[in-house]
Amino acid sequence: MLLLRGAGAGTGAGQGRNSTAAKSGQRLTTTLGTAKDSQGPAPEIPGARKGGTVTVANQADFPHLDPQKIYAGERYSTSLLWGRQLTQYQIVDGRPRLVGDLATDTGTSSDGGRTWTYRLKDGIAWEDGKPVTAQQVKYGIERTFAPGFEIGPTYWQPWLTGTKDLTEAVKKYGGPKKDGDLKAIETPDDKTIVFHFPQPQSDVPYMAAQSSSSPVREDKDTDTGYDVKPFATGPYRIVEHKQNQSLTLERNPYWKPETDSIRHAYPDRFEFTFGKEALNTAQEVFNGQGAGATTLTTKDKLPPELISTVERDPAKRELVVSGSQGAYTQDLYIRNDRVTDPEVRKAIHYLFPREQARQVLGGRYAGDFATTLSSPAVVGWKKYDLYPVAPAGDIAKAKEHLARAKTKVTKLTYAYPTESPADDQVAQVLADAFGKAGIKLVLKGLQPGAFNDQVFGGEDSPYDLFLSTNSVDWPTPSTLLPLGYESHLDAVSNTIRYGNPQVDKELARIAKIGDAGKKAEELIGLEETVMKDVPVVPFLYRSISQFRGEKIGGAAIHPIYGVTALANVYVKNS
Amino acid sequence: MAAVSKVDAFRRDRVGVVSFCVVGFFVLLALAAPLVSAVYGKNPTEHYGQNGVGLLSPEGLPLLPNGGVSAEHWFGIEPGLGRDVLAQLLYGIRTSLLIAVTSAAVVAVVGVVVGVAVGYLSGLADRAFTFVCNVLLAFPSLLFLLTLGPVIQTRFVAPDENEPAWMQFAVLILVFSAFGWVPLAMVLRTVVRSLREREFVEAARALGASRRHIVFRELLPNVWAPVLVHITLTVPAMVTTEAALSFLGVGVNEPIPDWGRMISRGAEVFYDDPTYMVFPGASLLVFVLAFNLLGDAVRDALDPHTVR
Repeated sequence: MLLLRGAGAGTGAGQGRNSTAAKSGQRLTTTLGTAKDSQGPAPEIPGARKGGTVTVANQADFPHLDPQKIYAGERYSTSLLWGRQLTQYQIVDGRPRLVGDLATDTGTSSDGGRTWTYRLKDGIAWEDGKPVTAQQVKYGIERTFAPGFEIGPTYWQPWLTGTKDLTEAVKKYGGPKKDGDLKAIETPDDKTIVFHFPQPQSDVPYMAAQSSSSPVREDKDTDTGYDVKPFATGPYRIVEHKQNQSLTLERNPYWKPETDSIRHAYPDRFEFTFGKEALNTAQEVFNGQGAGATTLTTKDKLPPELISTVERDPAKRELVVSGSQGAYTQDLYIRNDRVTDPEVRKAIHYLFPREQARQVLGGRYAGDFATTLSSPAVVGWKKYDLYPVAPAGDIAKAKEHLARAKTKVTKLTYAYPTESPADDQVAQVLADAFGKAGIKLVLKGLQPGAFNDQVFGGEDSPYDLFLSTNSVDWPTPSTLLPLGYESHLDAVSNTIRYGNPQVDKELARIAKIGDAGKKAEELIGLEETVMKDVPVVPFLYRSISQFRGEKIGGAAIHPIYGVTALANVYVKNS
Repeated sequence: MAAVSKVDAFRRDRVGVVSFCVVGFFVLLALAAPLVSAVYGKNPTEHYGQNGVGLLSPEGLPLLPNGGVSAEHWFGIEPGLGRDVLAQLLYGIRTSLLIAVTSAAVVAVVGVVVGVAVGYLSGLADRAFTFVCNVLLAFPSLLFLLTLGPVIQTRFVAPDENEPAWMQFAVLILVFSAFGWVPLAMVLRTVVRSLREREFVEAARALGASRRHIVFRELLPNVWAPVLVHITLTVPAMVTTEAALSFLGVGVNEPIPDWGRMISRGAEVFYDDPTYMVFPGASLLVFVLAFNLLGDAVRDALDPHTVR
């Protein structure tokens, strides 16, 4: 589960009818592209031109650039400028399509999903001109087993070793430096890579798009140095990276557009600057001061202080880049082992003041009301609304369910990270609503670090409810229920301690399905069974609003990664 | 006789009388807050803007101009939650005054007892006193308070309970008192030291008066003037300190109304709703200014040496 850390969602307020807030949770289901779609170059954007320098101003530097350590939507998106993976999402008219990136297609499976074969394209090269080989892709994936790489996604390791989790997987194979060659990946020649999985795996094409499926050259693997300045295969190479100050990208002369159907690479240079407050950057961008006209941001959000200014001024409203924040959803999580009575959870579902809570989070800027557990961006998503309720909440209905509860509940605890003032306000909103239903809500504001440790770290913390924004790792349902709602999982995965024997049985059956389409369909079907128990209360399909200078063209929110996609931007003619 | 002439002197000070009236008005409002808000028809905790229609925009800003000032909500409503600003302000005075006055009372008692005792005793007690005062004066009290909050939270509050209101108040009052008595005691020590050598004390001692008699009957009546001056200047200082602490998030927590927290919220929404900053800011300014002017007037009236 991809946690949204540091997302205070502090969007405050705004006026006016013509809101720039985008519709979130659009049905942006990813489709699998064909081998033809995987051939470069990327479809031209009308009006785009080559040349110019784009400044990317982010308040914080990237904690990691090592492809096997990158694990966040924003970094996935930005690292596309210099890094390439086996597969990747091609964006055409705002719709994502998974296509082959280094590989010629999204992979072919055989043996009921136990074997996956990829062929590398011709003409793919490193920034020094040497070709990218299958062995280097294999080496990259082998690295994920090594100590220090557990901060990346943990799918390749158990899949390739046929184990339950990472801890057991690394016992079988401990990385290329310790255990040498990983038998489960075969490279019969420089162009072919074959994965052998002990169990059927249907989501390999999506995992192949994660940054940890990037090739790494053994002679360039300088460990910590590689984390600061990785070696490029994409359209740009890193010239200089001064940590927490700047990152400069220049064209990689050995990248060939005809091998790449994803990246446009219009600008000549990208200059990243770090350390400036989001509010200052936003003001420079909106007023076109300094490099403001050619500046954009991939990390900073539209500051709440500027929302009403932006809403009033159509010229500034143009500069806001809004969209659905990938597959991120924000939900009210209930600890099912603490609030055991489904009637009480139903009561919480009814009394939850969605509208009031969203208002303090920035109204439409925060997102659209959710009724489902998974995001509409997920493959196979179906709208359902098991217990319809008005957005303002229904206290009378909540009281009915509370009266039906076996044990009377008079007190519940709500934990939240104190990242932004909006978090405190949401807590007040909830306390108000719970109070009206006769439940005293104890509010526990925690330091963000402590909150993550206590709530997501598997500790037995004494909190009943918490609001959290999460995303599946890739837009299929296969990581949501099996990795979060199975009763035998540890408390780190099954944060809410949900358990339903019927669901367990179904999950065990679905795990054996090798066909991706069928698996997705079954899992989405199972979701309603889970949600009948009200383990969580769906709240929002999150939106995101960022900003770009007036001379930046092609800026849009990446439908999967949920930030402004750099691979498509260009500098407009002045 | 003397007391009457001092009251007359105070009465002649027009600024003093006005500030006295202003302070009296605030105190009255604090005492009668439930009554006033009942007449006004609003309470400080209800989320009017969120639960009512046509008060807040979808993004949480007051729809009416000037922060939602209307016949219904005289000082407007709070952006976000939409609570009534006037009701919050009224109850906020209670919070400020309760903490400031209680701390000032503790400071007065401790300061007088310690200051007078040490001034009279001198010797070892005096040296010990000076050392303790120096330590306390050097103590980073603000940082201490910033760190104390979480410690108390984890040590004394059950993880599934809120910190009770009395505990939040008690901590602030304790810390304010613990550091607040020092300047008063030091002033009194000096005053008492000079009084001790005066003829009337010598005379009392020569007549065989007990220590107790000398301290309570001879010395104490002569120090009430500096005590009164000190207290009237301490209260506004504590009001601002409490507001500053709440601004920093270590003062009084939601949902207890508090001026410092209102100002902090005002700073957050200043771009969009500057009016929200005006009411708590102006109230705090007027209140502290009036109290300070009152303190000056009291000092002028009590101290015959000051010539205006």
